[in-house]
Amino acid sequence: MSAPAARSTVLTTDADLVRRYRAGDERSATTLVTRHANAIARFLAGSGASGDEVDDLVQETFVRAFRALDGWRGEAQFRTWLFSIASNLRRDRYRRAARGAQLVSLDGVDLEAGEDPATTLDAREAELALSRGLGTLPRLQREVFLLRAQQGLEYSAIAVALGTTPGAARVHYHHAVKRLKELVT
Amino acid sequence: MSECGRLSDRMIEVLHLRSNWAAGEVTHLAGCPDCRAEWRVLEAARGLGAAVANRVDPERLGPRVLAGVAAARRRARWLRAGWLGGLAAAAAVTLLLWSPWGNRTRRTTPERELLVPLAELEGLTTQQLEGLLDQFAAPLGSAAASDAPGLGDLGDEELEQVLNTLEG
Repeated sequence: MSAPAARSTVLTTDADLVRRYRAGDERSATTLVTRHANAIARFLAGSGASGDEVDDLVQETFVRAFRALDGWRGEAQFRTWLFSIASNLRRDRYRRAARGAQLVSLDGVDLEAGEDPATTLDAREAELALSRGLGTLPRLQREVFLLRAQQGLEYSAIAVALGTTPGAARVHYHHAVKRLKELVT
Repeated sequence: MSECGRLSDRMIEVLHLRSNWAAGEVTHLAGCPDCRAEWRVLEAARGLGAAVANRVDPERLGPRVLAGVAAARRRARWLRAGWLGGLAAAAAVTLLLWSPWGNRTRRTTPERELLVPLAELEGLTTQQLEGLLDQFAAPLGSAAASDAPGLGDLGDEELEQVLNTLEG
């Protein structure tokens, strides 16, 4: 890709891509998928979805988003809106399956190729303890924590994604941190 | 807000590389086991799910999403067509009943019979009837929901009190 083309891809906002997709440009949709898929997958994996579920849920999140673009008015970030859809999807699946939340399996904390097991062991143990701890939290606390700690969202954006208020999101976050500190350390 | 509470907000900024620690913050972190424990939780959270997410290939996902959208649209069109077909069939049956061929049916169902009122409702006053209608209009489970205020119903001061108890 040439330099000007690369710059134009970086500068294209989500709102522009959505507009182009609605005008019939399907490449804009794939650009949006490439841009946000990893964050949505990490959020879903963190909230307890297994590897196979994550792939399926990410795909379904985007399918629902592109079919309901009229529902996105650009007030919230596109990614925040995707988190909202992913959260609802995960909750629906959970209810349908009528079983407990699956913890992230050991697969989820496998070492990446080239990683030194000795240096990463502590971090992996902490991740494993954290994923177990997250499985014990109420859904809203868990998702608020993930959107804040894992995704770095502000409370106002979290409130939009999860249908709560910024003040309530803040309290949920501190509840979650307090509980997780006891479990991880 | 306590120093620990302030640092808690700052941790997210530093964790996501939007800011750096100030000298005073480093000193506090070094001497505060509670804040160090929180930082450890957040560092673990940042990497959580990365291994699973890395298995999702966005390049392959894009075409699958587009195919999924197209399939969902086809399903919606098919359902709409089926619904319209059902409506047309219902209209045809209605027409048949009202046509001369359907007269026999009409004769066996005198109009007077259809207009016989329900005795239970007939005995109620207008006020009682309106009360009944209000019950139908109320959303399901609304009474239970209103009895259980959530965090979203609390004011800023009340939320601050809750936070203070959490922060100790």
